[in-house]
Amino acid sequence: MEWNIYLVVLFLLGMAFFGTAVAALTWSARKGHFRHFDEQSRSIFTEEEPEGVQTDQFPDKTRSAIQARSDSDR
Amino acid sequence: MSSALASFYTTVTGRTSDEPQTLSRIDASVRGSALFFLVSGLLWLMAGTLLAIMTSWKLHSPDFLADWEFLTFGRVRSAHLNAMAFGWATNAIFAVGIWLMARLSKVPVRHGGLLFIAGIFWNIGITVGIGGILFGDMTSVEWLEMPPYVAPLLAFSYVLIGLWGVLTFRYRRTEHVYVSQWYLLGAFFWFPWLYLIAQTMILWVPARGTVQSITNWWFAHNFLGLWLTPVGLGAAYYFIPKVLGKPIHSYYLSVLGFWTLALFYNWAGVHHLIGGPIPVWLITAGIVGSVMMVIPVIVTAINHHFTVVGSFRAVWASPTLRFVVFGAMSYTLVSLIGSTMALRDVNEVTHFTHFTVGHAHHGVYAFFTMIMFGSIYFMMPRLLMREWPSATLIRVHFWTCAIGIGLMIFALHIGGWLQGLAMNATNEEGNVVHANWVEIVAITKPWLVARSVSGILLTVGHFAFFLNFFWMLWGGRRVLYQEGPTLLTPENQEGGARA
Repeated sequence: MEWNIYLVVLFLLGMAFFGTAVAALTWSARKGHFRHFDEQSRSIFTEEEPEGVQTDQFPDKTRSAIQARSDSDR
Repeated sequence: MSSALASFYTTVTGRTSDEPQTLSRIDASVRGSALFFLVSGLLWLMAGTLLAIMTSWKLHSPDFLADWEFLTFGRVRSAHLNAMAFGWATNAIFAVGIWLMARLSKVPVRHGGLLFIAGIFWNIGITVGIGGILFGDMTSVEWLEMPPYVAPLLAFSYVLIGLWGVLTFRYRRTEHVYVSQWYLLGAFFWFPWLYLIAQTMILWVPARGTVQSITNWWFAHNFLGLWLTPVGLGAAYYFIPKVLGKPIHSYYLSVLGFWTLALFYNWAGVHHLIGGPIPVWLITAGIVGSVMMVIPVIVTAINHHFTVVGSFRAVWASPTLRFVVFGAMSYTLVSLIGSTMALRDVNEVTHFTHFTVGHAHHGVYAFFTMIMFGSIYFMMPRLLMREWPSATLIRVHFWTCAIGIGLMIFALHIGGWLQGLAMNATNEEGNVVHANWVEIVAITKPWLVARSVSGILLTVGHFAFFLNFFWMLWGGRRVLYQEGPTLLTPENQEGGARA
């Protein structure tokens, strides 16, 4: 008896799960996520952390790098 | 008239404009909850490391701490696993996931108090759970050893955190959905499903016989594949381009990688039961899923490689990327080894050996944990507006952990392979060569000692990280614009670092 209940529940949940996946795929297709890839890859850059600027360094290197840059600017 | 209403609305609700927020504002809003999860995760990492050393030592020196029943091998080993999986890994996922989701949705965290409550309950739950393991209440189910009475507490906390993640996405202020957000959404959607089904079908309303085992390994493998892996990959896809300042090589491949992972990974869990008393078609489906995973793995590898190529100097110069790129490369290697291990002929040797243990640590540590370390190195300065106090400790952390995990994987793969060959060895008459199990144990012993040595290295690395982290938390030197991450605005400007 318990088997049938389990099978039915799992089947329904499985269908719901599959439906969610299909819905997510079609939603993203409609929103244009499968086009304009260049634009999307650049969405992580902002004014504060722009494209072309390295945003992480060792703490002891930052100071000397900044110093070197400001020395060469003079 | 409408602008008057709008400004009234803003004043009453405190809601700022619907414009995407600056990164520094978002980072500031996440600070409290992210720090809470990071501190918890780090404390669990240290506890899990201590349990790991004990576990490893006991395997080659069984008399070690053998007088206390709560420290017997079976209990410390399971306590170690749960401390790392639910303590370290999951708290790290909550911290990095929340922060990353907020940043990518370009919306600051609202009602962070909710996250605090959820996090406190989560940590109480796993403390009780791991205490339960050590004091004898362990279930017999791998990856679900915590006693069933903690499950409701964990489920409740997770619902709050998961809901928060979904709501952040729902109220995002950006048109684009970056691939990392897909990975995070996937992870946050899959995990409660996995946990609830496994708890129900194995512990609460147990299914019959081997169905429990199948559910067990479906859960355990997907904990790695649909909870840890997506967050690790999501983080790598963010940090590599972000730190280098150049976009990912092929965004098309990123999207392809996500969807193929979503399609194939779920099937792989059955490869833990190859040769077991379950239907052969199911085993074959698991093997096929495991091998098909080569597709998203190679796709991701190509993508990361071509993004990084030509910038290895920059990678080396960045603490974040040292760890993240190490992790990303490990992902490729561990997955390819994993797909190979799923083949029946290979599995015949590696199953039930230390090879699998080495593989598990390859994935959870060399891939996931190293990426989490990298993520934390990037996050902390931006959360605290401070710089990491010691570059030396960062270097110590990196080298001890890279060498340590490398040694561990190497030792366990070799030891495990020899163990497997020895277990299977038969002579011409068809009799088992090593009828005395102790002979096989003797073969593995030097490799287990090597693993303990690697564990010591990892412990040193974790201490270095721990020291640096808490030093930074309790008044590391304040970052000034000229000295710190490029994010921070100058001191005397609005929103700048305070002196």
